[in-house]
Amino acid sequence: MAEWEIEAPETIQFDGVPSELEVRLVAGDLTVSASEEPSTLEVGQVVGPPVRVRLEGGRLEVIQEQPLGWRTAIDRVSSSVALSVPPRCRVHLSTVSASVLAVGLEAELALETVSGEATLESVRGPARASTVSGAIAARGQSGQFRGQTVSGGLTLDAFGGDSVRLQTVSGEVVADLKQADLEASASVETVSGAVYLRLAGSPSQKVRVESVSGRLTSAFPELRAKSGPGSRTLKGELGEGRGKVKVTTVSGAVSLLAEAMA
Amino acid sequence: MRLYVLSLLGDGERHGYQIIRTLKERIGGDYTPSAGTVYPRLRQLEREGLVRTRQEAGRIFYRLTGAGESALREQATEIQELETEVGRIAHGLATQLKSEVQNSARELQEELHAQSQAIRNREAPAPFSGELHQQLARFTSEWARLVAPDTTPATARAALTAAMEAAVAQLRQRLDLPKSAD
Repeated sequence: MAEWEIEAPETIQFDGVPSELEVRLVAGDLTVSASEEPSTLEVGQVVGPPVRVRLEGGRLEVIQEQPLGWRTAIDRVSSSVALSVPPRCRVHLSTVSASVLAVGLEAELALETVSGEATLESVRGPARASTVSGAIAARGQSGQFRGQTVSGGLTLDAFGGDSVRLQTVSGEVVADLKQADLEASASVETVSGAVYLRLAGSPSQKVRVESVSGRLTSAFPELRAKSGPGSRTLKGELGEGRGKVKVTTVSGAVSLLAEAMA
Repeated sequence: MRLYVLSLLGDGERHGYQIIRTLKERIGGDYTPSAGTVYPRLRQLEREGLVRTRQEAGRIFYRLTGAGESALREQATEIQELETEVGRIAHGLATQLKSEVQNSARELQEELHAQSQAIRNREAPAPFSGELHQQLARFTSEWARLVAPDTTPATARAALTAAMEAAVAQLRQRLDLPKSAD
């Protein structure tokens, strides 16, 4: 078991190989990237209590906690943390306002933040990201993905996974689904957030879009639009209908788009 | 994406399909760049003066301009780092990568907003023909003159409003629309 308390900029190269990583931070920024090199932790500036690091068995913990007390609202708690771990390491990241960047991970990733911005690049494993107001942007995600926000935007660029579930109250959802010609499934739910879904290639999906008052726009003539008091729907089958696309909103407008041919 | 395309063109002139195929091979994994993402990037690079096009036998070939070559040289290290390492820690690189992904996200948002808008524009009902528009304008100004508050007593105005509502109801009937408005 190894433990550290970090109060000033420092880099640690770990002897052990973490198979599980847990990070809890308040403010600042956090980067976790996958690497075959020995795992390292690089801490930049630390404001507030020391960052506690602990590696035991295969479990690595990096925690900077907000101490409770009468000075909670006054004292800043912030740190700049960058970690590299093996690609198969399971990762759980939790911050209040620190922005998070996760790169190249191949096992489960769970990411929670209240107002931090969450950015995922080339994450292959199943990932779940939840925020209240922080925006979530994932590029090249190829595992199952679940994103939840209250007001933060959700943007999936070049999503290559086979299953995605996005939920938000008022955030805008923008997703480019690359595996639409396979059995990809997408489920999107918003209250007032607008939804823009592009289905790439030759989509093969059973589609069901429902909204109470949101405007529905579709690039696919195969889908039938119906409009009645308190309900608008867009339904039908694209291609062989192997996957499922389901979008439900209350007032958010929904656009189902195809890839533009150059 | 920009950097990959620039670096590909650094090897020489290419046409669109070659670029897409080579990108897929280079980036690998599950990332399949599509015509819908690559061609707008090429057009953007052309607008910025970094890429020049030439047509031959119905195909468009893309090549770097002098400015494009300088940009490529400047960003050569960035390209190498992106291509080889996904696991480097350095904070500078993380910030760069983060803003690159955020920029991609913004570009995607703009692209899909524009696509959606294009479809909606096509769906929009055709505007009135010129003559009908003129008749409506004449009707409206005549009506406004007749119903001017200082020259028309309240009772007369009420009668005029009722007449207007009757006219609208009749119009609905002629056009086969339901009786009441939504």
